[in-house]
Amino acid sequence: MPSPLCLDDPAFRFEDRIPIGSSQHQDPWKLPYDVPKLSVPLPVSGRESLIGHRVPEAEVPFRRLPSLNSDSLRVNASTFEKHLTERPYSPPAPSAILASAHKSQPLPSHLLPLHQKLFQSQFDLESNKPIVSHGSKSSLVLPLQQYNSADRKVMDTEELHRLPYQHSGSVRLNHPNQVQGEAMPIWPHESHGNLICSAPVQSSAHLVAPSLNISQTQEMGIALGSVLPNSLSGIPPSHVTYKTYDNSLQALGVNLPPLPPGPPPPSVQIGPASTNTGSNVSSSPANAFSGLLSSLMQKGLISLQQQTSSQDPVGIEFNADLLKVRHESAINALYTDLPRQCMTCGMRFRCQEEHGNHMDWHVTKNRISKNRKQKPSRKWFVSAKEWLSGAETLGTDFVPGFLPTETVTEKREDKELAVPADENQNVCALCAEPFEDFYSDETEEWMYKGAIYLNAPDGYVEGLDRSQLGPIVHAKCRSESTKGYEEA
Amino acid sequence: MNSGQAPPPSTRQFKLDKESELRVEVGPDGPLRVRLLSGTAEIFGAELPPENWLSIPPRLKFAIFTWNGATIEVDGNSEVYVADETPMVSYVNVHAILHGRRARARGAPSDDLDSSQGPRVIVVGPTDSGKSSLCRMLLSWACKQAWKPTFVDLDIGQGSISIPGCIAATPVEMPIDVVEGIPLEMPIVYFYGHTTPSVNAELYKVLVKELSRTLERQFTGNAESRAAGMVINTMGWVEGVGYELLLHSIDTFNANVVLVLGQEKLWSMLKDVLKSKPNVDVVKLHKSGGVVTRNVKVRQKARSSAIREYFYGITNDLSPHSNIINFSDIMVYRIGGGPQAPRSALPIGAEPVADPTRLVCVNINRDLLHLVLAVSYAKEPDQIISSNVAGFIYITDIDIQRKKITYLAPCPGELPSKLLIVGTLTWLES
Repeated sequence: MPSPLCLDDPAFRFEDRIPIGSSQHQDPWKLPYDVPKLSVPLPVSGRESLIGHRVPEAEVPFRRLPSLNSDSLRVNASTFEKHLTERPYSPPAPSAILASAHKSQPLPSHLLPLHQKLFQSQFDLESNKPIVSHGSKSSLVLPLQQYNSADRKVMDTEELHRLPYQHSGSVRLNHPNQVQGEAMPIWPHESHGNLICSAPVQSSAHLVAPSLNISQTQEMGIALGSVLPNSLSGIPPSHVTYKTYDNSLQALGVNLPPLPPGPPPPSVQIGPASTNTGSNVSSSPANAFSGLLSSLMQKGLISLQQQTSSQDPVGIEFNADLLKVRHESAINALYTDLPRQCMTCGMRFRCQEEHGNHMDWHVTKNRISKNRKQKPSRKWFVSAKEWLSGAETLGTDFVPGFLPTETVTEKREDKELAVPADENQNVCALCAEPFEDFYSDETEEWMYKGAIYLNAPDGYVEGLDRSQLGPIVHAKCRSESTKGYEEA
Repeated sequence: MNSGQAPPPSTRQFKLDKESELRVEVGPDGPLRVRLLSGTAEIFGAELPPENWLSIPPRLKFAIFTWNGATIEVDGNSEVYVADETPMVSYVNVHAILHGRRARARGAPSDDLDSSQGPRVIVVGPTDSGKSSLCRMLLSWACKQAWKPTFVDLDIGQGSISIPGCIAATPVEMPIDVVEGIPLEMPIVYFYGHTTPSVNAELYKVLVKELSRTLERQFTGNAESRAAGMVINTMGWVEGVGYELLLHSIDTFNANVVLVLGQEKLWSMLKDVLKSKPNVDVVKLHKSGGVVTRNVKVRQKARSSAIREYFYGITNDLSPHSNIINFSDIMVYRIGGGPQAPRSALPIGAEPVADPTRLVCVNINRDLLHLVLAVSYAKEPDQIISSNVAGFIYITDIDIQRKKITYLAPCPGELPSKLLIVGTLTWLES
C-alpha cells in the first residue's frame, strides 16, 4: 500500500535530496529531510491497516508493521526496525535512516578489533544489556521482557499506537539516570514477532559503530546494522530497536506513530533484516556498547568484523567462500548508488543528466510509435563493416529501439520543461501570465509547466542556490526575449 | 497472501522476503500482468518500475527477485510460487568482481590492449542450467552501472540473439527487458544453419573464429567496449564433441572468466585443462532451482517461436513482408555436407573426406519449401563462409513452372544480397 511517503524504497525517492552522511553511499544514509512535508497521516485502524501519523516537527517516519494476521507472515521473513530516539547533537532537521541489516559501514578507526565467530541461534543476553537480537529461528533475547505471541497480539495495535508516546518518554528520559545496566523501557510492539528491545543507553563517549557480524547460519555473514550516525551529527544517547518478522510489512510503507515534537529531533533507523542474517544492533554510546559487545564476545555469541569502507569489498579476484557472502556494496551499486529512477521502466541513473537523456529517449520512442500508422518491420542486420563502425560510435548517437533510421530530432517541447512551483511567484516575470501548475510524479512536487529559471534556462540547477537562479519565466518567453535560446 | 482491501479476484499479492523470488510461468491463454507494489525487485537483473503494470506474454518463464524485500501483485492466470533459496548472491558477487575488473581495464592505458581489456566471461554448463538467464543478469547489471558489454551467443539451439542456427554478438547498453529480450538493433550474425553442432562441427568452429575476429577488431577500435568486455553464452552440449567445441570457444575468444553452472564434473575438467592458463578463472556456480527442464518438444517449440518472433515480433508488433522473385534472382548455397563419396568409390585405405566448409550450389526446387534461408553479406560466393548475414527469409512457395519463389522477409524492399545460405532450419508458420 504505497503511501505518499514511500519509505519502502527511499533510495530513489529521497536520495537525491539527501545529504549523504558518509562518503559511502549506503542505505543508512538516506535521510529524508523532507519527511515532514511528505508524511501523510494515514488512518489508523486495527489490523491490516497502515499506521501512519503525521509528526509535527520532529517526525520520525518509519515503517511500522501493520498488524497482520499472523498466518500471513512468512516464518522466516524478518524485518527489524530500529530507531534512535534521540540525538542531542544532531542537526535540527529530523532524519530517518533506512538501514539494511547487511551493510558494510565505514567504521570509525577506533573500533574494537574483533574476531569472527558465528553467532549461534540462541541468544542469551544478560538481561539488562542493551542489545537487540532476533532472528526468526532464534529465540529472542529480550533484555527486559518478552511477550508471548498472545500478548503481542493483544497489544498489537494498542502498543503500536502508544508506542510513540512511550517512546518520546524515553527520549525525554534521556538523562544520566539511564545508565548502562538499568532496566530500560522496552517497547514491545510487533505484530508477530519476537521483538527486540534495546535499552537506551546513555553515554557521552564517542559513538562506536562497529558492525556486528552475527549470523545464525553460515549462509551469510551478516553485518549488523550498527549504524553510526555521522560522527558530526552527534551521539544518540538512547535508542530503541524494533524488530519485526515480516519483511513485507516494511514494504507497505507504514508510518510510525508520531513522536511528540520535542527539541532534540529524533532520528530513525529502519532496516530490514533477513531472518538468517540475524540481528541488528544499533549504535550506542561507546561505553555501553563496548560493554555489551565484550559480554557478547565473551559468550562467544557474536563477533565483530571490521568492515572495510571499500566500495568494492568483493574485490576483483574470485574466492569461492566470498562469493557466497552478501556484499552490501555489490547490491547498493545497483540500487542506492543510482538514486534516480525512471518511473516508467525502472532504469536507474546516477545523475540528472543521464536521467534526462533517458526520458528524452522515452519521449522519442513514444512519439514514433504514436505517429506510426502501421506496424514497423524488423530491419536487415547491418554488414560487418557497418557494424564495426556503428559499434565504435556506440554510446554517442546509438539509440536503442527501432529508432536508428527514424530518430526524431525535435527540440524538447516547452511543456517538458518545468520548475518547482514557487508560492512567492505565480506569474511569469516576463509576460506576467500565470503559470500552469501540475503535480510531477517524478519530482513528487508541484511544478510550473513550461517554466524555467531565468538564469538557468538549460535546467541545470544543481548546486545553485535559489537566489542565484533568478525569477521564474515561461521558457517560450525567455526564448523570445533572447535571440538564441538553445537546448542544453 | 492477500492483504488490504479485497483485490479483484484475479489479482494476487505476494510478499517477498529479502533474497527471495517469485517464480512465474505465464499460462498459455493470455498475458500476465505483474507489478511492484513496494520494495525493489528485478527480473534477471532488470529492475521493475514502481507500480507500473508489466504485461508478460504467454508461456514466458521468469523470476522476480528482490534483494531487500518487495510486494508483487500478479494479475492473470499463471503458475506462481515463492522460492527463498537462490544463487543470486553469488551471481551478483560475480558481477561485482567483473565490475571491478572493468574499472581496472578502463583505468589502464588504452594502447595497452592487454590491461585495457575487460573481462571476457564465458558461461558454460549443461542444458537447462540457467546459462542464458545468468548471461542476462550479468549484462543487465553491467548496463545499470553504465557499461556496454558485448553479448556473444554461441548457442545455436536456444540462442537469444536472432534465430536458432546462428551465432551472434551484440552490444548491450540497457538492462534487458523481460519481454523484449536481447535488443536486436545491432547484432552481428553468422549463419550456421542447423540446430545441433554435430551436423558440421568444423563449420561451427570456423564461424566462431570469424565472429571472434570481428569482435577483436571492434575491441581494438573501441576502448569503452573493450573495457566492458564480453559475456558469452554457450551450448548446453558439454560432452564429447560438445566439450571440444567449448574448449575451442574458450580459446578462440580468449575468455578469462569461465563460469561453470551446475556441473561439478565439467568444472573440474575445465579447471584441470585450463590450469596452464593462470589468467583464466574457472568459477563454479550453482544453478538456480527455478530453472525449468525443457524436453525436446519444448525446445522445438521454443525454436519455432524464436523464428516467428524474428518476423512478427514477440508480441506480434512487427510486420514482415511477402515477396515474389524469380529463381534467377538468387543463388542458394549450402556449406559442407553435400554428397559424400561412398567409401567403396575411394581408393583402398582412403577415408571419405568431405570438406566441411565446401560451398555447394543448391538447385532451387520444392525441397526449399518451408526452409529458413539466410541472406549473406558476401559479395562473392567464396566469401559466404566468412561473411555475416543480413537476416533471414522464409520460403512460403515454390512455383516450379513459372520459376517463382514466394518468401517472407522481415521488411519490404529488395533483398540485400542475392547470395543465400540454406541449412536444415525449417519452420512451419502456424
